[in-house]
Parts: sequence; C-alpha cells; structure tokens
Amino acid sequence: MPDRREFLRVAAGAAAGAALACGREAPEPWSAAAVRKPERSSVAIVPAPTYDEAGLLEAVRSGLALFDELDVRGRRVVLKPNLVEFDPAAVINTHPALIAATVEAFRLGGAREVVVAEGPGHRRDNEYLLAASGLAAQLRDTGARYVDLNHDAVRRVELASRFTELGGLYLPETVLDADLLVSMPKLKTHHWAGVTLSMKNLFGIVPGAVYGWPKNVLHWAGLGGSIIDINAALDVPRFNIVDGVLGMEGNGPIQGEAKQVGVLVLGADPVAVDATGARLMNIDPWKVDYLAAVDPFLGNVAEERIEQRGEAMSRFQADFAVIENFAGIKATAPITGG
Amino acid sequence: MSNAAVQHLMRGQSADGGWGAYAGTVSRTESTALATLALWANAASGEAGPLDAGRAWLETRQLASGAWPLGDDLAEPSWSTSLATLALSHFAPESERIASAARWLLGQKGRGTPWWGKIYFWFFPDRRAVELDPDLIGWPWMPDTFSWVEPTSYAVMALTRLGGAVDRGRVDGRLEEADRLLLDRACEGGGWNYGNTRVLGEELWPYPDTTALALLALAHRPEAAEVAEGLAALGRMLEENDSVLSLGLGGLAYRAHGVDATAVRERLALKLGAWEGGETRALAWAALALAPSEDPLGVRRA
Repeated sequence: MPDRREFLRVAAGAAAGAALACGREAPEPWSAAAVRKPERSSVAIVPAPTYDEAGLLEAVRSGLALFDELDVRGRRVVLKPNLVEFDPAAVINTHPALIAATVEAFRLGGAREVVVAEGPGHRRDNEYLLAASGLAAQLRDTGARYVDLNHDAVRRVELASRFTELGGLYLPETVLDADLLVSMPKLKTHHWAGVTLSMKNLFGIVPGAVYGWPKNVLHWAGLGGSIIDINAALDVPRFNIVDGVLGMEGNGPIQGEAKQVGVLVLGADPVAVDATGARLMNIDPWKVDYLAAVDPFLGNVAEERIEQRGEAMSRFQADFAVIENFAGIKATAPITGG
Repeated sequence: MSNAAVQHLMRGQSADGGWGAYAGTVSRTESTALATLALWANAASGEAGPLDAGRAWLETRQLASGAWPLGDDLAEPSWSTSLATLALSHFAPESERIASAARWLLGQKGRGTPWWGKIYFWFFPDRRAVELDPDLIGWPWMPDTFSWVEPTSYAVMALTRLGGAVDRGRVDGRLEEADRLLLDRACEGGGWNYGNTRVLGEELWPYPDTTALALLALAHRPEAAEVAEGLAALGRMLEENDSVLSLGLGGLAYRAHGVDATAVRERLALKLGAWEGGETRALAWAALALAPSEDPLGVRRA
C-alpha cells in the first residue's frame, strides 16, 4: 500500500492547493498549539554496554544528571516503554531491566510516583506479554504500578496538526494527566516508517479498546502523518530515553536482527532525540519523512541546533541495515555528530 | 459450587453493576457483556443479583442506533456491540433490543481495497505488502476500517444466535463471507493472529487467544483443514502459554470442537487459585470454559 509518504504530502499539498486556488499563501498544517520547537535542544549519549541492572541504574542516573533542568521532585512520572510483541529469539521490546533502572532513577530523583504504562499494539493478552517479556517480574521487584493503556479511561483530544484527517483522538488519561511522560523506545529500524524511536513509540498510547488491534486506523490515516499528529497533540511535559544497548536492524520493528550499540540516548526534545538515534544508526534523519516534516515546528533535526552531551556519537555509531524500500534513507556521507 | 473465576468476577463488579476492563476501572461494555455471559452460563451457582445488575447495566447503555458504546467514558457505537448482543440474546432472543442490535451489526462492514488501490496493485502486484484477500469483508474494530479476526469472530458468534427477528438471508450471507475471511487469514503453520498471515514476505505467527476465537466462530466447520490445523496450533501454543485468557479461550475452543479440555481446565483452575488480579475478560472467558454446559456460549449451529 503506498502509505509511507502520502499523508505528509497529501495533507500539506491539499492545504497548499486549496490556498493557491484562493490566491493566498498556503497555511501550515499545524496550529500554534503544536509549535514547541526550541531554539536549541540537548541530547545525551551515555554508554550502557549490557543490561546489567546496576550498570543500567548508573547509566540512567548519569544521563539524567546531564539535564539540570529536569526536576521530577514531587511529580508523577509515566514511563512508556515499547512492548509490542514477544519472540524469545528477537530483541523487540525495551529491555525490562532498563525500565526497572529508570523507575529507580526517577524515584531517587524525588518523583512522587513512577508508573509504567503501555498499550501493546499486536497482542491483547497482557498477562502473557508481561510475563514472557520479563516485565512482570521487574514490576513485582520494583513495586511500580502498571497501567494498560489499551483500556485506560480516555478523553478526546483535538489534534493540533493536520498531517492526517483524524481530526481528534481518544487518548488515555494516565498519559494526558502525567506530570512527565517519558517515551522509552528501542533503537530500531521500521519497515513502514524507516525508524521507530521516541515519536513512533507513542503509537502505544493510542487505546486499542477504541481503535483495535493492530492500531490499523493509524496506518490507514497515514503512518508518518499519524506519528506527527499524535506527538503534536500531546501537551504534556516530555522526556525520552532510548534503549540502544541492543538495537534492531533490518525488518523491524518485530522481525529484524539484533544489533549491539551499547548506549542510551536521552533528551527532552523527541525530534532531536530521534534525529540523533537515526544518526547513530547511520540513517539520515532528513530522509525520514516524518522527522523532516516536524523540524519546522515540533523539534530540532539539524545537527547544529542539537547540543551533544555525554559521549561522542562517533564512538558508538553503527551501520544499521534497512529493508530495500528504505535504502534511500541511509546516510550517504559519514555523519560526524558529537 | 461456582468456579473460582465466577467468585473473582463477582468481587470485581463495580457499584454501577458493570465491570471495568480491570476491577475498579470505569465500566466497559466488553467486560460487562463477557462477565454477564459468564455468570449466566454458571447461573446454577445462584448469582442472580450480580447477574441481574450486569444485565441491567447493558440494557441501559444501548444506543438509539441499536449499538453499544465502549463504555460510559465514550459514547460512540463500538465493536463491543457484538458481545453485548451475544450476552443479552440469552435473556430475550426475540426482542426488539436484539433485533436493532443485529441491524446495526449487519450495517457494519470492514473496508476493502479502495478503487485507487485496486488500480495501483493492478499495475504493481508485487508491491502488495500483505498476503491476504483484502476484499473479503468481515467486521472491523471501528466503522469503515479493515476487517480483523477478533471483531469478525465476535460478530459471527452474535449473529449466529439470532432468531427470526432479522433478515435471515442477509445474516447468512454475511456469515458465509465471514467464514471465508477467517479461513483466508489462517497462518501458514496453523492458527490465527489478529488477522495477517505475511507482511513483506515474512511469515507471521499465531496467538492462542485469537486462534481460539476464530475456532469458536468456525465451530460449524470441522471439515475445514484450517480448523484442524488451528486446533493443532492451539495445542502447541498452550504448552508454552498459561495465561488465564489463553487457557480460558483455549478450553472453550476445545469444547466447541469436541476436543478433550480436561487438562486445560485443570491448569486453569490452578491458575485461578493463585489469581492476583488481571483482566476481567480473561476471568470471564475462564468462567465460561469452566461452566457446566458443553456449549456455554450457545453458538453451536445445527
């Protein structure tokens, strides 16, 4: 189905066409409420060679310490990992040990509560998915509350951008009422979107009880456009921690191959974090449609606007394979960030 | 004495008579319909009060269109109409309530390939990312979206129970196409996932819960190879998956197809003995699997 680029272009193109027909300048497909691009963004790369729990806690804490402006004291933090499927032979999900370490790190930072929340997009059997993935055991050990976003109470949110024709979405109250929403994706390539990182990970907040399994409504509406509209709609303080200890290359997000990178990527601007994640995979973020499309209003893609903290990117950059349809997003020149 | 799942269900009932997806959350149609059905199927245990309250919750939430919303926090018609219809059909199958629900269900159709997609794939057949027949129409999760295994299976079970208050020919036509859709969506090695067999040339794997639902909807098709393969795949999956949902639905599917479910029911009883909370629908399917009747859903066709 020709859905990779269409809605980004159709939405912008339709608006431009209508405006030109009326003899006036095309309106942008986003409202003032969606404009959150900072002058500059900060992204940290922190070494995390293995899923050793003590090492991960230290890695997360040292990464968070690079963001003086991030104050979670007394706040309710909602962690949104990527838990979509389970295959014992694959590295599909955000590692449970990283989720547990992040729970602990935010608690040590003074958070009032740290909740883990996810709405798996393929499987409805939460008991199985949590147990098989190892997250159930980590939740027991940490005592963190888990919210099934597929069945959470919902409120309708009018979209602040128009890259799809969705208009509005019912979204879970646990997310909408969070003091801080932390997207915790896996560093992966994606067979429909090119890459799946902090922004794409938020497909998991769209409740399956309303939209079904898989959340195919978003694919029909246009995958890239849906990624943008969901992210632009969320007027919630955000942070992002990418599990790049073991990433996935090739036919992600489910059936790709494991790729050792050994890092965490952290930052408040999801666009800048995802652009950095793409560069780590030797993918040009300007060639990922949805990332290029949000640079004017939602966050920073340009390297010169991203302050690199922590380790140099060049130390960890890995050449991720992509499927043939996305061969064009690979960086053609060495990326020198960091 | 009622089974443990019924006891857990009754403890999780909300003050408004409904059930949330998890105990203590906002009441929803899916969980209330399944819990009500589970209490009805175990009614010999004497749970009239909770059963009546569940039934009343459902009856007061039906929309003028005949459909049910997802729950009190979302007023639009939803896929859970099939489950409410299935549950209430056991109380008054010939009522106008059921007939109007059936009319709404018959009006719901999954979306096939749009005209521009047909032209595109006529020119570029190799670019079709999925290997299924997209023009077989079943039921979607949301109006005017694609047909998937789970909502189609629910609708089949609900419509199977309808009496003479609806256009039987129309019902039979939809059920026949739903059969073909479900058979088309079976995974290569047997069983069903949400409804895709291959994506970009890669084979996808089945899930026990969706496999069991498809098998329940196809209980009248024992001769189909996909049914035999699905039962075998379900057996393999249940060796590795002991969630209450999988065992409950798996046990029901076994019973619907005349397969001995004793071992599955024993494992389920053990799991329920150690129940620490979870999805209401998992409990409800478990209660149905442990119910005394051989056809607790009442969906077997002659």
